[in-house]
Amino acid sequence: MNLTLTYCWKEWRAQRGLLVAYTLLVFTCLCLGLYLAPRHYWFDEGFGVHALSWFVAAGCIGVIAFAVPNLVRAEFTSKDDQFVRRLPGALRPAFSGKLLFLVLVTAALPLLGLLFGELLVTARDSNWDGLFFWDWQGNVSMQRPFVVLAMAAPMLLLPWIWTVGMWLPGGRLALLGTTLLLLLLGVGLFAVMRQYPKIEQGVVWQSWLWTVPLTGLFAAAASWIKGRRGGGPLRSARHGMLALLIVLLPGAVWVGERVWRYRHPDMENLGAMSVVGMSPGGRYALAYVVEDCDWQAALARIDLETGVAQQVTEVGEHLGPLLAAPHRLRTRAAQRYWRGVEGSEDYILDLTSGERHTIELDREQRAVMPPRLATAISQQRTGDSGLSAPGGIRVRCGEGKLFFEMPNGTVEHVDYPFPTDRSSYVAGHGLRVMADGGWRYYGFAQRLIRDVRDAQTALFVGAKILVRVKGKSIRRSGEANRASWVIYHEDGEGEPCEALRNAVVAGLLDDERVLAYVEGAHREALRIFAFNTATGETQDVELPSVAGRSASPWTLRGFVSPMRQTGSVLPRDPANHVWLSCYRGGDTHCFRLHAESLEASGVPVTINMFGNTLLAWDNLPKVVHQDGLEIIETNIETGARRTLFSGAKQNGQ
Amino acid sequence: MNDVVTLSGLGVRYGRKRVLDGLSLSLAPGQVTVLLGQNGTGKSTLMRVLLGVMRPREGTVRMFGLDPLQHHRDVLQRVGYVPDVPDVYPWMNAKDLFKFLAPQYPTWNKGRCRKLCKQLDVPMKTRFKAMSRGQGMKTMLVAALSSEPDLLLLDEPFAGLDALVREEVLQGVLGALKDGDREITVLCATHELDIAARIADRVAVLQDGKLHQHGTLAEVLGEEEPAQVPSGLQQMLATAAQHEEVSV
Repeated sequence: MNLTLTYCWKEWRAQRGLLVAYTLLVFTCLCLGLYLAPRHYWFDEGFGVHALSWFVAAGCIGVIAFAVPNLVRAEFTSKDDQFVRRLPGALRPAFSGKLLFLVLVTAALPLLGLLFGELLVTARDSNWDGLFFWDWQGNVSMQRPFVVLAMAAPMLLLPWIWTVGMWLPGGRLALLGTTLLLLLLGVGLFAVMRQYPKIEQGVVWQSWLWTVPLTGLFAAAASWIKGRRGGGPLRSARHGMLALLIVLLPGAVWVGERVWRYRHPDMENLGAMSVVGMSPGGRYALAYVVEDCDWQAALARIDLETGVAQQVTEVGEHLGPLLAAPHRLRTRAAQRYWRGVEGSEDYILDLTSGERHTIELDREQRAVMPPRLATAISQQRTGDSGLSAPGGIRVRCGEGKLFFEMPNGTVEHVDYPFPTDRSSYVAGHGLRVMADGGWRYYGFAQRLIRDVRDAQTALFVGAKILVRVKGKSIRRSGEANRASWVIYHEDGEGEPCEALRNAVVAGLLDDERVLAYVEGAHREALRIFAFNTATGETQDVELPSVAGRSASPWTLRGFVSPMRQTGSVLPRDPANHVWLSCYRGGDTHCFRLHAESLEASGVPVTINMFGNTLLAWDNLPKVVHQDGLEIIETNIETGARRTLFSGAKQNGQ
Repeated sequence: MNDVVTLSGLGVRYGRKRVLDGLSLSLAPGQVTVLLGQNGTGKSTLMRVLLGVMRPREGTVRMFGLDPLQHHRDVLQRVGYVPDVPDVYPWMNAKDLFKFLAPQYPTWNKGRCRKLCKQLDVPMKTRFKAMSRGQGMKTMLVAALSSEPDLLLLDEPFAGLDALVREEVLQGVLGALKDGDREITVLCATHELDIAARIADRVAVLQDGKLHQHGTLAEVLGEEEPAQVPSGLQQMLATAAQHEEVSV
């Protein structure tokens, strides 16, 4: 302790001139400046707090810019430090003396600033009550002056400034060197954060700030005590860097582990999952998986027979069913082939076999596939496309064409009516695409693009077009939908459709009937009915009451289909039922509606927008659906559930 | 009797340049050994190794039977050192220096310090950066002797001093050797042979980082074949021999 005090005295003796001069000069200037500054209401209001904060900040600057770099200024080259190195015991007491001086000066200068500030505030007959304020509930909170807060970061870095000063030929470069070191570490850290967006989410970094000065002291001790033993700044730098690496190692390991988890999500401990595809036959599911909800997702292939999931893409990469469903039409529930890009490599993933086929691109950037793969994809395209024209004509698209498969087995084709780079949407027996600032429609029956001006929306029903000409797409709460519909016949004559007044059309039940509903002021479905465009008749649907739930009207969320599949007519299960998703308050329920008889019944499966998706209904009465982090098979007759895959953390793990 | 300093196979390099090469040397207690050698032969480097300031690449160093790097405090508390140039913080004055050094040496003798300061006329309140070279060297000598060391290391303390100051410093050293009952072992690096002739019990000649010769001055002069001696050293030895004759 005696030697520590001796070295501490030496530091004071070395620096006292500079520190006293700085203190007197800066504090006097601040006093004068604040005393002479003109009084304005904004300046006078919180004067006490501001004055004190500036004095404290001036004290902090004195520590950061002068006291700490000067700790090593007299000993910065290998010759200069020989005096201290050849003294008995040399470097340990010298280090502890410097540390003691650092602690004392770090406390003393800001406190001295506080004292000067208080004297000034008192002299000006002011106070620093503004440091605290009371809200109308009587809670007291502290106003943290930004000047002092701005000093907090460099004050945490004091030991690092000292350390870097030992590494460089001249303590004057300590501040610059620390800034560069900080930038270097920051660049590394930001590179990781940029590569893995939101990887920092959930980390309470504030609670780890204490490690910054502590690790700095460790590096300083290594640089001085070990580094200066038989060497100069270079040896100090080597030892300090080694110490820095040692202290960074746990952090680097932690970041590395987090990066690993980011890149390779633990399939049994997922934070979120979203199934985006099913293979034909329903054995394999393709799902975005992620361990933390804020992170980027990777795609995994899940075997629903074994419950094993395997990651198939890097995080942030995507697979699209574009080959099988061109123009972004989601008319198929199951897709076997998925196209992706990894780096500069295009490939196709066979979801059924798990194989990955690399593909080449021709000059026009079209995929050139191996013949066997091309045949398989072509066969998948010629299967049920979900598109149809009235009269049992199946419609499919691909290769820039629309194909019409006639009931007699002949196939006709026309060029695809819209630019192929635009997303197409189903509009009953037709398609629509956004172009030239509005929707453009193409009817399969007419095989023509129809210009439906002033239409809010429209859909083809056989050779007719049902056009909504009035009504808001987005309604304010409490305002009923005052929709008006016009039906245009084959000859082009239009007439108002009174049966659909104020109604929303959900889609086609068959070649002639549409399913529609009328909403109340709060979007509740006051009436659900089928409208026959040929006869003008309507038939009401009655949703059954659900045991234990109120009888107030349900709000119709929309129709339900596996993987949100669409089609010319509303998608239906093998038993010819259209599924409807309804909610009432926080209560969600599913109903099956027979497409012919319109008889409705409840389904014990919850489908909503929040991770509960219907995946497959091919094996009725069993359906497969996603329920949060699980994929479940439910028997809709008995209600029995079987977990096919679980990404949730198991109990006891 | 145990030797105060034992060097065995000492090797030091600056980069690729080998400064000390397999140096072995022992200093017996109470002896004054003068380390002779031309500039760049490794005299100052040897001093740095002995002070634990430099880590040798090869060989072992034992001072009072201890490794100066491992037992720095125990060894250095018994060693006084006068560098070739005062290397104290420039803002210090002699008073600050003695105040700073006193707690570091348990054997620090304030009375002797005062006496030596008076004897050598050390300026107490002049900062080192304002001192002349002679004043600085005298202050460093006082600092080295005030701790009553068992081993005194002198690294060319007389170089660059005018004749008067040189004599003052030399008298200070000689006075310390005679003063008191304590036996002081001295290792003095110099290339001034008249100094060597006046204080040396033994002479060690360093050449190309190796110990070329070690013995009394007479032994060194008698053994050396003039043709084998480098011209500079030959001249130095001749000068020393003349001085010895005069002294005798």
